[in-house]
Amino acid sequence: MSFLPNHEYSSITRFVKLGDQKRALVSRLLQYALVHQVLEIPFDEIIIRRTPEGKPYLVCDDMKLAFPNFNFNASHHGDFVAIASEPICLVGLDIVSHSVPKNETAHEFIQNFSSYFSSSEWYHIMHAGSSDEMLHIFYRYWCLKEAFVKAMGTGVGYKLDDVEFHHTNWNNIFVKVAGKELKDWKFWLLDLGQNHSVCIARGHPRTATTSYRTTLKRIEFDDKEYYNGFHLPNASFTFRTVEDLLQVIHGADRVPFDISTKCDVSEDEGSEGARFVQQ
Amino acid sequence: MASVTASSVSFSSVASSLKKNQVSQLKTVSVSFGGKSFKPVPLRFRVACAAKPETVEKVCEIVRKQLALPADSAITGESKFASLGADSLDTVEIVMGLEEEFGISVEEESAQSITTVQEAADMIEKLNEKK
Repeated sequence: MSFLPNHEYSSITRFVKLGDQKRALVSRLLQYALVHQVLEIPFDEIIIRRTPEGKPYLVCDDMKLAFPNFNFNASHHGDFVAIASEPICLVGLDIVSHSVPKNETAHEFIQNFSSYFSSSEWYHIMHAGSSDEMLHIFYRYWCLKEAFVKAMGTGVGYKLDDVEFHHTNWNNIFVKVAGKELKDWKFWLLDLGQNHSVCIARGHPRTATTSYRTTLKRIEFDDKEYYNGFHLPNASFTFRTVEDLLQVIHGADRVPFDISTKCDVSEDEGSEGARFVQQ
Repeated sequence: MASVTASSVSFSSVASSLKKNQVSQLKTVSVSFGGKSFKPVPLRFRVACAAKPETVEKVCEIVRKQLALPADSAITGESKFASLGADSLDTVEIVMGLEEEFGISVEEESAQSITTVQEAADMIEKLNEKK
């Protein structure tokens, strides 16, 4: 924790469970490392704050021209912490772990969330076949919705049953909100090992929620600029261990960061310290 | 899901002055007990409106169970669900658990605005008052 500025400590220690603290810590470290690598700002000059809804953003007066609207999003769940950034478009990221519910059947568990899905999404979930398949589809749709909401920075009150995702076998994913397709949004869904899915959402900055919009450098882009940003290839995830991350922070080794980076944090909560899986 | 109906309503002295034909519209009438007759005493007013300790305790129980926290873990009214380890899925399930336990129905938009134990307990009491 000594790598981080003091004001970040409480944002980690507020978590009751050790696993959550670890994930929060790694998430913070990733954010600082990312900003440092991509924008080459020295660590002690990096200022990251949160909107009232809890979305982190970089406070930066002078942004590199190559990244006129640099913004990022992080997510953690289960064994992974991930981060993604975009130079022009909004980015949202979510990881879900496909955990099997303990005290109820898959069907009972999923029923709890019925009001958050559109009728066509619900149909897909319910007609999946096995309860394992049902869970997989459920978690993937949930992941997409979360990434979308996180990209915009809205904390509460988004009518998710009006947000309907369409896909062809989880490719070419697009979204319709209140029946209207959002053509300036794109989504990717990837399966990570060990029953995790990750979703990246990329969309137009003007769709950001009011509070998050004030943190962005630019909202409007001309068509060509936006087109370039929108059609950037989706970089694949780079896997890093926490040790790699710490090395970056120490400055000992310049680990090349792609636009997206992921850390594998495997915890053994019974032991004194954390054990990290070597990749 | 439970739906709230105004079929049986318990009245206080304020309500007894309502005319009979207004009973069926009780759902949409907001009855303010603070009123203009009281002198504003902010701190006491807040305590008087806060949820009963039993309600808060029951909420803590449900949250503890959903997040698989040990029985002796410190959960108070101020505890934020996220700090206790709740993700977006857990929050929905907690609200569902509260709906079942207290026989209330919470709208999605309100559900997403509940972030602490106290907020949940206050909402439960508010919804129970309307029953």
